[in-house]
Formats: sequence, structure tokens, C-alpha cells
Amino acid sequence: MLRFLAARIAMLVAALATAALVIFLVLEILPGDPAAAMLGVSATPETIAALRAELGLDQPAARRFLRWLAGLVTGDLGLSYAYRVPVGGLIGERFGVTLPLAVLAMLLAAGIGIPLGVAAASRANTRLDAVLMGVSQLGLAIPNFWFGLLFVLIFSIGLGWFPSGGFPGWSAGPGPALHALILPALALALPMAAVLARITRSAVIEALGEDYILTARAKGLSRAEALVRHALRNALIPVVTILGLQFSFLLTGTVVVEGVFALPGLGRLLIQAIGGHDLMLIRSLVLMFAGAAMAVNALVDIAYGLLDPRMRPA
Amino acid sequence: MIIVENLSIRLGELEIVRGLSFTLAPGEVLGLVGESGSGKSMTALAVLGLLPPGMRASGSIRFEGQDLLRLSERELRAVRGRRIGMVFQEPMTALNPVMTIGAQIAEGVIRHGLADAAGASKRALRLIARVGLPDPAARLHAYPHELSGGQRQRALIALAIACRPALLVADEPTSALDVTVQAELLALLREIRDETGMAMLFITHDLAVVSRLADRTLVLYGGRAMETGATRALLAAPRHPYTHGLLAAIPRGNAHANPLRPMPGQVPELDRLPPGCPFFGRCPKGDALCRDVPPPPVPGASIAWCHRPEAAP
Repeated sequence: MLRFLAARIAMLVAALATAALVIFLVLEILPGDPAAAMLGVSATPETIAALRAELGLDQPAARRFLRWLAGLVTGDLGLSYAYRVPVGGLIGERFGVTLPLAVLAMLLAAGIGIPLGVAAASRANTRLDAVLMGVSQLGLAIPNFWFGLLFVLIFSIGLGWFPSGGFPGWSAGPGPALHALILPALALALPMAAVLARITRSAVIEALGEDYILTARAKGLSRAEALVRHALRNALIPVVTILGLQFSFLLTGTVVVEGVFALPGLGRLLIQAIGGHDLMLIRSLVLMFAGAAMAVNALVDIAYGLLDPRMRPA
Repeated sequence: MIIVENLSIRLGELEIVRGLSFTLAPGEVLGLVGESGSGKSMTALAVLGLLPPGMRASGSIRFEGQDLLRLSERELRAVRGRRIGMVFQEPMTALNPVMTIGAQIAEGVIRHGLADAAGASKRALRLIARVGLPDPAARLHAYPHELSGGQRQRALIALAIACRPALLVADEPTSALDVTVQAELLALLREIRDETGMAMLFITHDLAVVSRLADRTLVLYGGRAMETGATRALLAAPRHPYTHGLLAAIPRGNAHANPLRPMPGQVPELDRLPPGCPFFGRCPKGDALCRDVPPPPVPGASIAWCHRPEAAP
């Protein structure tokens, strides 16, 4: 298992380095001079050249790429062209909003979707099953930002239970921060939970039809025991696959939902960076998103090994 | 010990098994023989109360002073695995792929309160050794995919006998395996029967397997009994034309001296059976009486449900 872990982490690092190279090259090819953009129309060629030297843009591309790679390790990612502050600090600050938001959304999605899917499967083709699957169909059809607007209307403006937007930061402790994150996390989680419920239902129904369930029943286990002890773990394998795939979409989702709830997260930062041609910021942010998706994929692979002994390396 | 009387299994209008009766004494092996679709597997599941949804059993299955068909689900759970063990046909799929062999054997023992986790694990280790798996300590922590088909079937036998049941129901336990592995497993089952005195309901399509293991044999066709009797007598001088046909279809010895005679026709659909004998239509002796009137049991060296049984020699 340890060798498997080491191999998987080495693969992750290699994938990250490749992603970094691709991102760097693409941004290199794109037209537009950041120094000219920063100085505006009244800039003279001399001042532009001076700024290019100051930003290190006059250096060869290979050297700038290596400096960026080294910066990824040390945290020195250069200055944001637009904000004129270190990119590392900017990302770190926003990361403290988006990571908890994404993790909370994943937990809510799994916590809602998987039990509902199991409930529907254990009562397959009954009224409960039909109701649950009908509701999940609705969850699939409604986009997360619409849930966000609906929640703001009901729970913030109507009932006043949650703030309608903004983020108090973590300095006041986890209480107020989590309070501000619950509605956006729920808006992100519901469409994911709908997918998870449907996948879980079909995976559990399939597992319940396997021969080993009959073996378990013949031992004297009840239907419910056979479901929990034998069917569920086998059914979780496809569910984990979907969960991993959903994480990539979740990152895109944060871009929209952070906008709806006025959260100072990575998603909004990315939108602003793209709007301001802030290449320094864009390349690190894009790599950040790519890295998060890759890390979750690595976690999914490790989860496979834990769930299914057939996928463990011999 | 187990007395099955007039067992019928229905799926809606369809009668999968009709009016089946048999008994089994402690330590006795009864071979239930039939082609696929003869209702033999459903009979096994009915004994455990595990018929698929929609199927209904009627009649009675008396076992240790109770009628299994009239027990509640909770009462049945106390019997399943504890008093009646079951071995299924497909060793490749009948074990849970994500659980160790040891845990799967121990689970029933713990479930029936015969031992705590540590005691059940020790018992699983003994059982793994008893069914002849090499290196039992390693097998205890092995997963099913690390075992061969024959080894998995041994593990399934260990699982089925873990609580020392009085009756073992085995549904084609050797059919998916090589002939040599088959012979080893049959020998193992016979040994276990001799040691424990447990009775066995052995379901198979293979008369050769029956001849090696079963004291008595019951031949099924279209969900109905065709012939029953002591295995030796029944195989030496079959009285029902169907049993006769089954025997003639077994390859043996010199192909020139004993040409293989496959039975003509196919197993009919259950909803297209004639009102009389289900074998009418494939039977070389069938006439109008066979078509219209269900045959009565005719006693002799064996009992044959046939209007035109072979005379006892």
C-alpha cells in the first residue's frame, strides 16, 4: 500500500509539472503585453521597457518558467500586475474561502445524496423510491446559482437565518465563517447530491442482485444487514468515481456561486484576473484549480484501493 | 428430519414446482436431479425461505418440529445458516469480493451468537483447514480474488458448515468446476457428512455426480417428480422413460459399444405443459392417457410417476 501511495504521489507531481508547462506556454503565446496594459495608453516605450525589466519580462521564457516553478515550491509567485501585491499572499487569502466552501459542499452532497440513494434502493419501485427519484430529477435540472438565489430569498431575506453574502473571515473563529458558507455550500451541493443519489440507488440495486447477497441472507442476515454489510461497500466504488468527477465541476461551480454570495474566493479572483489581463495571477490560479482536481483524482484512486482489494497493487 | 409435503411454487399463474414431496433422514444425502428449469434450484431456495420476490410456496416443509413455510422472517433467520447451511453454484460470485474469507466465514457464527469475534475467527481458521485450503492462516486474511475457483468453493463449504447445521443444501456446488476438482469436492462433502452426520440436499443436473454422493435420488422434470428411489437401484434399472433418457445421454466407455443418445426435443415452457405428464411430447412411449391424465406414483424398485413404467427386472 505504501509503495502504491508513493507511486501515486509521484504521478501527481509529474502531472502537475506538465500542467504548469502547458499553462505557461499557452499564456506565453497569447498576444498582449502586461507592462503596456498596466501603464495605460499614455505610456512611453521607455517606461514600458523599464517596467518590463522590473517585472522580469525581459528575461528568456525558459528562465521565467523555472523561476515560476521554483516559486510554486517556495510560495514566491511574483507580483500581481493589477493588485501590485504578491500573488502567493493573494491566493492564500482567497484559498481560505474556496477550500472550506468546496469541502463543505462535497460533505453535504455525499451526506445528502448517498443516504437518499440507499433509501431509494432499499425500497426500490415503491412510492418512496418514486418520490425520491422525482425530487432528484428536479435537483438535476436546477442549476446551483438558482438554488443560491432561492436560498438567499428564503433563508436570508425571508427568515433572516443566514447572511445573504459576504465573508467575515476566519479571524473571528470558525463559527461566523461557517455560518456564511453554509448557504453557498448547500447551493453547490444540491445538484451534486441529486446525481449521487441516482448513482447510489442504481449501484446498490445492482449490488443487491449479486450472488453474495444470497450467500449473506443464507447465513441468517436480514435484508438490511446484507445491504449495509455487503452491498453498500461494493456499491460505493462507482459512487466514489462520480464524486471525484464532480469535484472538477464543483470548482467551476464556485466561480458562479461565489459571485452570487459575494464571497472573496478563488473563483471571483479568477474572473477579476482574467478581466484585468493579470497574467501572473491567472497562471497560478489556473494551476491551482488544475492541481486541486488532480489531487482529488489521486484521492479517488487511493479510495479505490481502500474499498476494493482487487484494485490494490500486489 | 425434513419432510417436504406437496410443495408447490408459483410465480403468478405459472406453477414452477407442483406437488413435490420428499423426506431426508439425518446423515442422508438426497440427490435432486433435473435439467435447468426443472424447479430444483427454486426448491432449494424455498427450503431456506429465500424465494425471489413474487414467488409463493405452498404445502409444508417440516424441519425440527416447525413448518418452515409458516415461519416469520425473524424465525427463518434463526434457522438460516444455523440449522440449514447453503452452498451456491457459482464460486466466482457467491463470495463478497471486498471481504476477507475469514470474515465471511466468521460472520454467520457471530450473527448466531455462537462465538465472539475472536472465537469466530479461530473457528474460521479451523474450518479453512478442515476444507483443505493450503496455508489456512494466510487464507483467513485472503480476498476471494486471490483464490482459485475450487478453493473458493471450499471456502463456501466452510462458510455453509460454520454453525454445524443439521442440513446442508448444495445447489450445483461442483458444476462450475473442472472434473478433477469436482471429484475432490465430492469426497470432501462425503467426509464432512460422515463426521458430522448432517443431512444433505444435493441439487445437480449431473447423474454421474449423484451416483458418487447421493443415497437416494429424486428426478424432477417440469417442476414435477418423475422418479425417486435408492440411487443405486434407480441408476441400475431406471423405470421412468425420462430417467432412462438422462442415463443414455451420459457418455461412458467405448463410443462404439455405447453410442451416445441425446434426448430428442427440449425442455418445454412451463406454461405449455400438457395437462397430463410433463414429459409427454419427448417421451417415446407417450400416448393419449399420458397427455391428458397426470400419472400416479407407481411403486416398485423405485417409485415412478408414469403410466407406462419399465417393469422391474
